Amino acid sequence: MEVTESVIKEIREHGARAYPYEACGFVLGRFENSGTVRGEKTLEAVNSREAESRRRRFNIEAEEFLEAEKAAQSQGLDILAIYHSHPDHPARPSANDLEKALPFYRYLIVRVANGQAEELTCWLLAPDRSTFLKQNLVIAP
Amino acid sequence: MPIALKIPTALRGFTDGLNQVELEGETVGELLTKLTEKYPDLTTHLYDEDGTLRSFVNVFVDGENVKSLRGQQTKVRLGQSIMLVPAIAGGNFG
Repeated sequence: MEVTESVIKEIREHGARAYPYEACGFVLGRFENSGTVRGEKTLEAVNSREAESRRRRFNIEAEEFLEAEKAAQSQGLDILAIYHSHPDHPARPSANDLEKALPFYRYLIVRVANGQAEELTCWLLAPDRSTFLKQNLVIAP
Repeated sequence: MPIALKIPTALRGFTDGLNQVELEGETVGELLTKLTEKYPDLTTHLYDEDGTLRSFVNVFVDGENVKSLRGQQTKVRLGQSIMLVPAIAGGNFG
């Protein structure tokens, strides 16, 4: 997946700002003719989990998902990826992430340690839902 | 008379790229059953190992989430807007 520098920056900033809670949101962009998936913008979402569980879980309501799709379409873009932060945990999918994952969308995970955004990784659900497959994340102009 | 169920982008890879599928059924649950009969590879994404509809799968009928109506027992009829809509969830727990 290709993303712009600003997408990386915005995800990291959102993760740090939400700490010690999990941040979440969407990456909007385009499927290019070459087959490349190119993320151009982020759209922050509300983590609708109750206060205490927001430290270790996130949830984006279906109603907000619909609004995000409309926002993307109004700009000629699509939802390409879901991002969220793992406060004080590694930037790799948990069993909980796997259980609730959707196919097709890339999942970007940023580790936030003591309020500082660190590693950012990209994943795609395997067709049989058995695991996440790590994807290359390329910063492009 | 078949009823159109709108398919979200994430699942169109399992419906031959179709953004809506025409199905026979009188309730939301019947439409979902017919959908997975027609496209069996969707089953694992819509239902867990126990056959329970996954928590992130939502169906909206005329803009209203059926979770606030009668769930899968919600009646449907021709002319209504019926959409399959994912919620997104996860996190580092577990």
